[in-house]
Amino acid sequence: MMAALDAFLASYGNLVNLCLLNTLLAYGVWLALAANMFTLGTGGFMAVGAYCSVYLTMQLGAPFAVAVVAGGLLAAAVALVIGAPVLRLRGDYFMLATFAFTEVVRVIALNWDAVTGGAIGIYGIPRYTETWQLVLLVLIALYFVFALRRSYFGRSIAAIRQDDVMSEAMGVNVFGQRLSLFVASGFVSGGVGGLAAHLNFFVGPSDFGLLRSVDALAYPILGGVNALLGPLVGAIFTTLLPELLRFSSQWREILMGLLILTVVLFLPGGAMSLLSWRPRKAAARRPSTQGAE
Amino acid sequence: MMHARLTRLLIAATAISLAAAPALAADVKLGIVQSTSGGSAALYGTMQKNGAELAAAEINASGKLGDLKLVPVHQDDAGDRGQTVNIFQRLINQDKVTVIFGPTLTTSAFAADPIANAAKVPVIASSNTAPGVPAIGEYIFRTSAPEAAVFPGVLAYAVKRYQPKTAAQIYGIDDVLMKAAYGVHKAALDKAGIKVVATETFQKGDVDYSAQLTKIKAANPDIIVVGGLAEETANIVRQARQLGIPQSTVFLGANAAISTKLNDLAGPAAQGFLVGSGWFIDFDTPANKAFVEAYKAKYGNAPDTFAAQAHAAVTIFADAVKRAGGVSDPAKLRAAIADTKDLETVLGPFSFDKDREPVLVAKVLELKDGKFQLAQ
Repeated sequence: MMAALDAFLASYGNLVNLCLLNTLLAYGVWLALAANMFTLGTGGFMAVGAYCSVYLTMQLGAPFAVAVVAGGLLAAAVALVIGAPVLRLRGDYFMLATFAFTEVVRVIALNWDAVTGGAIGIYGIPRYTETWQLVLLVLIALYFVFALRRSYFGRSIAAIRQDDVMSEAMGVNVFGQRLSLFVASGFVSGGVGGLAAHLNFFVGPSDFGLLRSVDALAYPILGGVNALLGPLVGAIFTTLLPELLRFSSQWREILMGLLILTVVLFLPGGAMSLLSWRPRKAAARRPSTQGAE
Repeated sequence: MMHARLTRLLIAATAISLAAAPALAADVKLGIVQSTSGGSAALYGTMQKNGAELAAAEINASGKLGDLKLVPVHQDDAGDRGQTVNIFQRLINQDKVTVIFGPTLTTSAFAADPIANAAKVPVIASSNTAPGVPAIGEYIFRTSAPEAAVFPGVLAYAVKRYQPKTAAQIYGIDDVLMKAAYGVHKAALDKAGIKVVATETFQKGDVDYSAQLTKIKAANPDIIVVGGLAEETANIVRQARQLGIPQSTVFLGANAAISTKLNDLAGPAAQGFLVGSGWFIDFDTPANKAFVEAYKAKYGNAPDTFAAQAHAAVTIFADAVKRAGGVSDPAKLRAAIADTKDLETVLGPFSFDKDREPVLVAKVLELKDGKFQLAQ
């Protein structure tokens, strides 16, 4: 049994790691999405966490765990600083502002050679990230999100997602709650950045751009924001897809696009809404619960 | 149930990947990791895949390796680093390839090559030119000439022909290759005693360079050295002439600027443009002529530098297999590749230096009458 697992991990280890890493990231983004914050800042936070942790392990010789937590904390601090002004913006403007943040981080990474290695990036990073660590972290994230959804705080977030003006009127501190979620999201993304940097020997500025932010946003949305396992399903689905479609060679990108489009069109509540899917008639009689628990 | 369906899908996918041709005792599996989808990387990747597969077919047909048969296994990484690592792991541990040709992008190489190096599977790259790639480990080689191998020759030629005293530099600051090229250019200029009177930068996707070129014009350099890809370089050269920088101010370009696109976009403005390369299509040797013919016959279009470098990589590997007497001992095979000396390839006589970097005759090319020709 162990031998079979070893053989499997030798061939598919990186794929497993990427699935786990993206799942963690998906829960990080979920924290922001849970209060209707469509953040494109994920790439920026990941970059902050990645470069910070790599600097700590490679230049200062800090232990890996310390470096990852420090990367997460620095990203959280940055989230706090930019969150205060940015969270006063709504919808499209919030999205644009967080996108601008990711771009600023990318440009800094390109030009701050001493810390980031500039356009070339940093290579020869020691490999510290292990599969068991990622599994453990995903389990912790799952438990955390599970507990959060049942707490008073979780109920107030759900209220904010439904209608923030109404929640404010009911006495929910909308700004405070959003800010704390944004900071938590920054912390998780930064930590994932640190883990990712110590997985594949290399980081470069192009790793954490807009594309990364959009991918990260797609995981929970594809999987379903309202289900506990939604981000996990979305992240694993999106990560496995290019490998599963490998047989189709030139058609791969087209098929990937079509599949994702299908999910978005036919399962607007995410892939997890398949589980609560009912025949059309029954669904029509039910009051619309789109976006509710 | 979603779960059952997903499991079935997974099983089906695994079955498909396992159904790949079973290896015979005499098969030597070549992993070819080149991007054939995913943006501009696919352009370089497809050329290299073709070049490598052509070389493998030629070697099999020639019977040079006796009963050993080269079996190329191509995998597309779509220019995505995560996928490159996935593929490397699978090729090494599941397909049990003997060697890997690729990957297309330098960033992928930094992430994936250490895995092959640890598994003692030689990697021969044919498009990674940024510094530091073979330094990843003992098992990592490349046939793509880095800028440092070709530019000094170009500058020496320019010095002999034009006796420049001053130079201006302009380069792409957010591109790994161009930033590295800038360093190489600067070092060569300093060494030749040519004063750099202006240094300007641009970013990927820029199309208007008039601000930078106006400053360069004011500094009035004898030559201008561009660290840019073909499209950028073409725009820079064309706009420079439009701004009144005379034709007598010669442009020197980076290796990556070699493309027929340069002439298409810049037209007569690029007349006299100098660049160094490990290969060019009219390179007059029997090996290269046969390669260009065969490539055109098989794929219907002309090969480029990357196709030639990939072809050379497979040629080098096959020669090493012969000298090592088979592929059973990875250390012996690696040593045989490293010992490659003056091997006749489509790039001309080819050797590896002690850092596993290519040693080959740099060709100085001049853009003349719309074509890159050997500078006379």
